[in-house]
Amino acid sequence: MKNLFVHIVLIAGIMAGVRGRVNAQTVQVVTKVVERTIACPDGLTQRISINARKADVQVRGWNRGVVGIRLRLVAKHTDRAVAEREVGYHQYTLQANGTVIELSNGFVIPQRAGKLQSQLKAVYEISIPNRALLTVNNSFGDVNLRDLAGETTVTFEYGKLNMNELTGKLTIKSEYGDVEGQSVNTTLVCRAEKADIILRDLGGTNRIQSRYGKLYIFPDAGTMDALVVTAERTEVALLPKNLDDFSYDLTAIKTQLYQPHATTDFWTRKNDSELLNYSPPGKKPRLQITSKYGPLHLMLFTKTDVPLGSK
Amino acid sequence: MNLPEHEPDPNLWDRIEARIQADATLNRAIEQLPEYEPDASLWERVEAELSDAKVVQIGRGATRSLGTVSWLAGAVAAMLVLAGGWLYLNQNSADERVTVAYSVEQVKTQATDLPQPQAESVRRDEAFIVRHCAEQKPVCQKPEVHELRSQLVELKQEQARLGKEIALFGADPALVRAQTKLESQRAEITRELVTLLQS
Repeated sequence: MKNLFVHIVLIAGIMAGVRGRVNAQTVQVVTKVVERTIACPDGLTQRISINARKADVQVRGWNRGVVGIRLRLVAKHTDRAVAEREVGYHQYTLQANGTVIELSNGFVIPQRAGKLQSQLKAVYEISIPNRALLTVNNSFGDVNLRDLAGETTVTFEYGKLNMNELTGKLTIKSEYGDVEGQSVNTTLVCRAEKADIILRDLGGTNRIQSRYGKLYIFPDAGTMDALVVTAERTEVALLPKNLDDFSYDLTAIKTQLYQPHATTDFWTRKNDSELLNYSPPGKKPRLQITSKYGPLHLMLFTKTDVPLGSK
Repeated sequence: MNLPEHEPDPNLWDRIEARIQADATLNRAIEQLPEYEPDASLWERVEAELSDAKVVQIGRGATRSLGTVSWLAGAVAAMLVLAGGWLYLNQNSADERVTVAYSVEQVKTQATDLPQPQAESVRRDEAFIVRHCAEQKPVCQKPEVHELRSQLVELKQEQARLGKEIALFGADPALVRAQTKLESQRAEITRELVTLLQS
């Protein structure tokens, strides 16, 4: 059990940005800043579609009928002339096209230019009507979502998705990209491959699939409706504050199920599986987890137990 | 200490208002201006004229007179650049604001390679898996082993794809982090596979 705590702290530390040995270098930074607002009166008839590449994408909801965009296209190099030339390799589109508001970026490197010398990155800072329909695609960058209550779909690879104070509908598809959420109270569908996922104060209705990753869930008794997790070769930890806040249907196939002493009477073994079915008195939100080939932990969590990363 | 008082010129507001109106009128007029494409053969003509002109080397201490043709070509090129710049700015000015900022910063560069002992141990383990599967084929046909080996192949393909991105964009921090993640995944799966084969 202690090992898992160490593991969680380590993962949280890594996700918080402790990323190994570093050296410092002075570079010239040339930033092209594009600012635009696009009308989006009710936020429901138009879909906001962000197709980002090598970008950090920050989206927050506000109660205005416009989309506010600030796109920073950055080039860094020790030689300012090189950065100035290569910042021009960024391409972008910010436009309303019928029922879609398209925001995208990419790179066009002329063949004659040879190998790229600068470090190129795009940073989106976007404010959208908080009940808007939003689609985000990104690779090799972070996505931050805050204060959204509409229908949100995020597809990304590598980088990390950070979420804060979300309601509404949420769909996440991640490959190699980590996920960290705080107070996510949505109808969530999440499919993740090779991702480390931490969801704190998780509420709403949740269906999560994870392969080859890590999944740590801190359910919130006040807002949780249901949780269904299907995990394969994933280390899963379910960390409620009080055991009796929820009912549990846990299955560990070809792996071990770790549990507190209080539930040992409700534990059974069937063929190559370990099962735990525990329902405290009264109607409680049901947490159902099936884990195959990856250990499954049920343990009580209090904030004094584990200093989790930045929290 | 009392500073002297000044009254603004009584016509000041009228003048400001007139200037604002003039700006607005000018902006409206600019929007109504027709757009022109340069003649498709313009560059060929400019190039032809340039090749006819004398080659002039401008360097320190060298002052030479330019031929009339060169001056004309230069003027045309300058006008094209100005017109292009005006069109570019005008195209963005409607509802898009573009600015360029310069700054200097300290960036953190990360080591791109795994610590050598770990990379070496992964290669050693992978060699063990290949050898073991060649000697004991039935073991490696078990679904669990097969699944893990497929994952290893997938990870290698992903590393190759990432390698192409790194070749294009250089050792960018986001790409280096991705590379580190893939290496750890590969190490983890290799270790699991070795444990499974040894059990």
